Amino acid sequence: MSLDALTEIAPRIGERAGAPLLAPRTLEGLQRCVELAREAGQRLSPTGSGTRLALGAGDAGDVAWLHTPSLLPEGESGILEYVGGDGTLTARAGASLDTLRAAVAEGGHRITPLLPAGSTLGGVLAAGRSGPDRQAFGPMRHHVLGMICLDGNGRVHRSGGRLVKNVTGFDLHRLHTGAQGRFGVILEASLRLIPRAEAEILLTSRALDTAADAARAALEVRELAGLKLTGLLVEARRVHVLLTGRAAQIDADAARVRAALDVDGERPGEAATDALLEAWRGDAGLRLLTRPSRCAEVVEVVAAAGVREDALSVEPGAAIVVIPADEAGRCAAALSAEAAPRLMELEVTFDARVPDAPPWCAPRHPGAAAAWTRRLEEAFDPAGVFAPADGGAR
Amino acid sequence: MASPPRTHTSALAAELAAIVGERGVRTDSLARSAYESDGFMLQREAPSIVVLPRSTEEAAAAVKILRREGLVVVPRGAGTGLTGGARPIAGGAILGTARMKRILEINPEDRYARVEAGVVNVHLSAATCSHGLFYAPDPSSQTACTIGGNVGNNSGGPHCFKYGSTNRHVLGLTLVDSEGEITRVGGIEPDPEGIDLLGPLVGSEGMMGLVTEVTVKLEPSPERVETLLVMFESLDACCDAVSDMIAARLEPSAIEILDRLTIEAVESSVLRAGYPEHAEAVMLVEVEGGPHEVDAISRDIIELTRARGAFEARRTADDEERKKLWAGRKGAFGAMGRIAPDLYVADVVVPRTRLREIVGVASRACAARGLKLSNVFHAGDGNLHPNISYDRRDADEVERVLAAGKEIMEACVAFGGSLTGEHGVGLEKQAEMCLVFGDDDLAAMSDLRAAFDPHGFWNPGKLLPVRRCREFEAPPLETETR
Repeated sequence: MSLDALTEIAPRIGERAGAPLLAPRTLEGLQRCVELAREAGQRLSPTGSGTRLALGAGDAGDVAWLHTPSLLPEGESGILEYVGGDGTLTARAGASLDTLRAAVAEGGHRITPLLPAGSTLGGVLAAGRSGPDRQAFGPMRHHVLGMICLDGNGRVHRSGGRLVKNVTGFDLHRLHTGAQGRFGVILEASLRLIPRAEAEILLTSRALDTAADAARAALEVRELAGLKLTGLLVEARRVHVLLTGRAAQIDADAARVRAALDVDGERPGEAATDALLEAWRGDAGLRLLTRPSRCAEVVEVVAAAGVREDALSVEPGAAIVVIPADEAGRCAAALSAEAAPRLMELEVTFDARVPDAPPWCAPRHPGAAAAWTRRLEEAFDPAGVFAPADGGAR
Repeated sequence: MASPPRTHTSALAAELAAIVGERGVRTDSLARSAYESDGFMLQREAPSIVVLPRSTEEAAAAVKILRREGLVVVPRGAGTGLTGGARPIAGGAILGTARMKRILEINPEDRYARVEAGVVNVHLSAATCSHGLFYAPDPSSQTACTIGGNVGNNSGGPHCFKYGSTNRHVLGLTLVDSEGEITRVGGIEPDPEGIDLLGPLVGSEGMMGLVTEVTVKLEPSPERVETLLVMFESLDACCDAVSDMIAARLEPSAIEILDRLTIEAVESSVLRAGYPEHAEAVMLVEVEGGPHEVDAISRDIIELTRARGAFEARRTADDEERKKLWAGRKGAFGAMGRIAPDLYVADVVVPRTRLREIVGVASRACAARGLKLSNVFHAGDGNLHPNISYDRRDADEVERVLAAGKEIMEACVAFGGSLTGEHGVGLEKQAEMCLVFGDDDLAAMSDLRAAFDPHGFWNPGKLLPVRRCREFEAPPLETETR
């Protein structure tokens, strides 16, 4: 019954993961959907372009998807304000990240995170996704200046602003970033932009004997005094080093990297950043979070449990090791029996939001933090309207 | 006017002293008076009792006792805040971290440090520099302010232009909540997954719990550092030059402006940084990186500022010269003491495209009220500090100062800016929050705060405006706990 009422306001435009995809066209329509869902006990899950779903982040269960790109007025890009002179961008959540990237590139800026094509701004924010440029720029949550959201009370609320420095009020936008829509729908966000560099180059090593060797070699590059790295990645046992900056400095730094690493591939110019993205397998899979000094050992532990060395993706500076989902499934038993105890000793934490996450993945918020989260859910979504987009439990 | 403190029992003091030691409990009026305010001295209130634990466990035990006794608590680092965030609540307690000042761990390989909340900001970088690392947030008060206080206010500083404010450098923290429970939030991972509980806690102005320990990210020391001193005959031109630099996407690590009155004060003081006393304004710029990068950026800055009328520019990579130049900037507020006994340090923020305009507004607001204004600010971030010299014993002057401050804040908001870039809201800007946020925004912030502190135990009555529609629905603490 409630679904029929919802589709009168937000037409059904398809399905995702077996659940109806509804398209509200206006904020008022979206608010009405939330109100109806609250009354009827229907669960809703905000979704952007569904790229996270395609990565196996979970299915919808008994929810209906709310398609946020439908909120974009017809023919509009979703850009609300790009202030090149201040290095800030404000856009609607349903805006395509690719569109935003292209728009600011013309003004001499870039957006972090560096991610494959196809995502929306809101989707990336809700998932808290970062890309391999986090080596230089940190996680993407550090670049969110402000946000407007609709919560489960039907309340539209704002935090932060459009300024690169601002401590006015509490940072609710940090709560919504990475919360998978648990506390509401992101409607709009402002980002800090990064100046595009004068020059860039991607240097790629030959394949080393093991992924752990490659991780160690990458960390040695990281330790070169004064070297400014934009990206540092190990894929298929090769080390990829992205340098960006002033041309003369890049030339000097590239020479140092070549001296430190057995480089057998180079991609200079504007294609360098895209080349890093091509090399990056992404974050789909079981993510192990550690510290840089333990990266190589973590890689050795999972490799010893049978995970193929070539399949591992490592960002040594950000201390992330990703086991692709198919490898994690194939080696599940050995990972549980052999790797897990040692990974626990190494104080590895896990991204437990993948489907069929191993039971040994530690919870992220024990104790009082669990109580805080529960109270936040009660405050921002007392009726439990919003289902987290990754299928996680509330 | 301070109201009489609520009486406490000797038994309470003794019970607390048994946990934190005799020196950790202050009850005499002279000791309590030292905690009546932070750097915002226009509102003062003596605490009922001051408690100074030595560890997280002592703090947690003290919280349980204070909560049982029905006191509310204001956390306090060094009390260098400038908005009344650390001003006591009538009848309440101060819980200070001054005795929690150990650096617990420096990990050069993983580039982090773990410190107790009372560690002084500059001491951290001093301890890490031998490892080729430093802690980036560098507020002007860094020789006194604490890391825990920096977390409370999401503090900035000149080099936040490049490196970001405190919230980009906190990897984890330990928090004592209103139940006296100890919780570790975050860790050492640079990019953790899941709900970000750490983010809202940084900058929460002591209203969600007591931070007792912090894990911070350390940055590698740059290969080369140069400081540029660029001189202008016009403050407007100096502001415009900054706007040009941002629009040109130049990437120094800091851009600061000092106006003529500030220059005169600094050069008349012991600081004597070598600023030219005939300049209407100087721009202090720091450039970091590899030698080629530094040279290229410095040359670009000099060329751009000359196009805006800079009459001289000096570059130095000499450590002693650079230290002197920065000492002048960081000591500028103190140097203003030569002009008047008190200094109202406004803290507002605007888009970098609007710098000149807001400087003009501040100038006119003060001139109209017969007030002496000096400007020293983090121009690179659009974070201004219009500083008004006054004497707080002159009630009329105080009123004019506050009126000028309000006018400046209103103009900032009208220009697309906001109330505070780094000092926080506290008491000073509580009413003005309604200029920036609506009822639903403030209600959501109130809900966020209540999720961490449902009893309103921590620093109540700050930041969020108190209006009839914003009153907490929970009963007052007194009736709940007795």
